Amino acid sequence: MDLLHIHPILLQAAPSWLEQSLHGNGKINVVVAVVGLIVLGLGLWMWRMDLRLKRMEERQPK
Amino acid sequence: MRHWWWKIAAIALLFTASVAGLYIPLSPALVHVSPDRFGAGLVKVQVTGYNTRFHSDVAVRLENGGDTFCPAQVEVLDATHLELTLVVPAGLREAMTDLVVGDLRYPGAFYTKGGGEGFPAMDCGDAIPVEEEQHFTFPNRSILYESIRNLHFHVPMWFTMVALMSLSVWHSIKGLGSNSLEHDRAAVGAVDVGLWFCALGLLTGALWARATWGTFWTNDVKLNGAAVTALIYLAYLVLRASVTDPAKRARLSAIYNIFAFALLVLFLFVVPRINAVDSLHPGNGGNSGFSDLDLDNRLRIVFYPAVAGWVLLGLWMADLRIRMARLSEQLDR
Repeated sequence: MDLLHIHPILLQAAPSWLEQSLHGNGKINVVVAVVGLIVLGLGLWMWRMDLRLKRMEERQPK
Repeated sequence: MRHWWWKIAAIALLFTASVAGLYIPLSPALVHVSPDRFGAGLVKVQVTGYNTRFHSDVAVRLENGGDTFCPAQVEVLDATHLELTLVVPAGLREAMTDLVVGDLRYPGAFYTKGGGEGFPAMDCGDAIPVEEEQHFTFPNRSILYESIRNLHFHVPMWFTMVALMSLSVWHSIKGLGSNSLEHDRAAVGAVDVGLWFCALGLLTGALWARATWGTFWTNDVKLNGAAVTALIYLAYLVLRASVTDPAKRARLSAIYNIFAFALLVLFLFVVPRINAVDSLHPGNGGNSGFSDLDLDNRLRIVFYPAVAGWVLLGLWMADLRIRMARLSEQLDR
């Protein structure tokens, strides 16, 4: 038996975890990632507005 | 409450467009064949469909250079998988062979080294639709697949950014004429929120690019244009921070803002549309737009409400930001 023979499919590099997660299920995962990122961005904006308001409240004359 | 209706409109549009953008199914398509290369002779091929309902009386044929041949046997494994037993004739004219299952076509599904003289035509039966119920669907494009939905999320980020930067430059021009600091506050508030949308546009674009073009960043004209635009507007904020006198800061940054907006128009709308430049983005540099791909406007019905919703939300966020800046200045006095 020819032990040195490697099937061509084994020579292809295994896809990274990222590639697998972005390409899964007809690439719906990249949509989930994009929507999640947008919600995260809006959340960060809310956080920053909260901080600004807090600083204003602290400056308010008692 | 004055002028509250557009805030309700923003929420209603965003809700409708987001739900529709995620919920509406993709139209059925053939997405994969294995193996995708064959020579003349007996070969077994597995066909994978997406959102299909393969049934036992589905008509299958293969087309090569105007000639048609039928599989010797079609076995329906399940609603999305077929196994074809092919007796591939010698004499395929062209390297690429199309696969047609029912009313679905997979162009260039198979590869063979062409150069034959053709073969006798066969009749494989009538094309019975794979999917009987025709409900509202999004186009199923190869490479994009489900990620075509990102059109309703990634692209509105840029529309919102451009709307906010337009609002900002309008306030800058008004501010130069009136010397009012109120316009200056509005201009910087709009840029501030606009840059958030720019950042979201760049990041969501990078993710989408990874899944379709294979890399987070390419030297695409539109990508580089967007990055340069982001830097120009960041410099606007840096410029403002370096001037302490409010009146001087307002005048200087208003003039800068007008130049910045001119460059935004140039980098996002003029340079990418030059035909000599190649762009991966649809509708740019000789690349066809989405309008060429879906003639029945299935994407537009969701896309335009999404854009309107996001633009209104962006204006609302800028409004909050500007009102907060106004209060903050009153506190300082």
